[in-house]
Amino acid sequence: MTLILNTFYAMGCQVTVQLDCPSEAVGWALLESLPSQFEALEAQLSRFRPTSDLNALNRQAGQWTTVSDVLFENVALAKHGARLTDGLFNPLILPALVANGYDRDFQQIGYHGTENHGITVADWHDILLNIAEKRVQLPQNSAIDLGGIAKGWVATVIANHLSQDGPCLVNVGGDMVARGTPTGSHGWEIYLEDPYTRQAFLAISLLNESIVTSGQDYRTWHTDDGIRQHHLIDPRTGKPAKTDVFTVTILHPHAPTAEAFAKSVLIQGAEAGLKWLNQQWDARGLVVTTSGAILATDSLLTRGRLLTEINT
Amino acid sequence: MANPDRARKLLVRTAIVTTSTIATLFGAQNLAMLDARDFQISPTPAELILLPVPTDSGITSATMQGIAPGVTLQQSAPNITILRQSGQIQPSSLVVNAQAPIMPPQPAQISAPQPVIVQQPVAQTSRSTR
Repeated sequence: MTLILNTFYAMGCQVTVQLDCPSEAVGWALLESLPSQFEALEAQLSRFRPTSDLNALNRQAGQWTTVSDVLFENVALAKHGARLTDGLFNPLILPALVANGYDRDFQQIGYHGTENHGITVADWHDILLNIAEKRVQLPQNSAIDLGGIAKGWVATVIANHLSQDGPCLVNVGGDMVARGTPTGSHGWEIYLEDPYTRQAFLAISLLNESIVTSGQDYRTWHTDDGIRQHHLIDPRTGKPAKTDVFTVTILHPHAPTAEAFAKSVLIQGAEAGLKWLNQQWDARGLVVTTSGAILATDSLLTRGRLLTEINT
Repeated sequence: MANPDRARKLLVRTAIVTTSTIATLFGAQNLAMLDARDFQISPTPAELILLPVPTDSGITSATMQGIAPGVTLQQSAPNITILRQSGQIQPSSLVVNAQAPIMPPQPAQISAPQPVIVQQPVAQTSRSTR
């Protein structure tokens, strides 16, 4: 077995893929082709690409639109995430994201816009899906942002594809999907990082599952009048969520579901969110709060190994 | 793409994943609804009633002490553990990091990066997308 790694930039973030493959030549070719595969998927799913299938769908909101299998599955997953979280995850937040300043690729935002006073986010129940004909109808005057759902889905598809040739770990901007175990290991070792000290404090061995971290620690910007904004919209207000959750990490078999759960926990707040998470099927989580506290479900701690004292 | 066969295989597998995932989603939703119905919830207006914890995650402070000697842990609520209390971190860390200038990664990529062979798995860090 040969362990091969490739790191590149795609979907607005750093992607790192590791494949433990019996054939070095096959593994090399697979990983070398990944940037173009990511590009092909991003071209369909990104709201920052004017010609993407996603933007074509958004432009036809209110009308039945035939879409590709890739886009259909992502929209279906997004609606399912909304269902599982009773709408706290709602993919129809794009108009609110734009109104709050996230109207371009994050790297280009800088200081931008003014504080938004909240806009109404459309009802996710009104996303209509025709599975047989692969058609979607979005509510009138709405627009979808796939965001983390698309990252989780792409990581899953790529991991499933690579796993035909060997164990692999696909890391898309910190969201990871693991398949199989590398030679000589019990799983793919990953660390959770304290966003304040930047120190790893918990190690987890991923085994055929995903881990997702979301938070207001990185994708933030300031309005022209100095108001700090972040990209995690509360669909109930149409504004960045007011929450004590700084970062949230979810461990779950299914990456897109983990993404939806992360948003739900963040919007609910640390303790309520983790209580809710404990009631969800096969979900484990950890929260770092805006006051520096770290809370975790016991179900996650049984999977983890504390690395060091984590007070300061 | 460099390998058309691989591209075709990816598209075929994507289509397979599409149909199987949708079937799984509907199945998972039904399963979740069954799970919710299996546990009685008493009408306590102020608090959530937690579902029974799976047997492999029953944990006590004593258990965690064995896992992490020297780390003081507390229970926040049933099945939720506090690894660090509010205020235990240096205030300067909170201020500095919360107001740190945002430095997005440099996306410049003149040519497609090349894979490298590594001797052992490279541990990855799960963090917010960057």
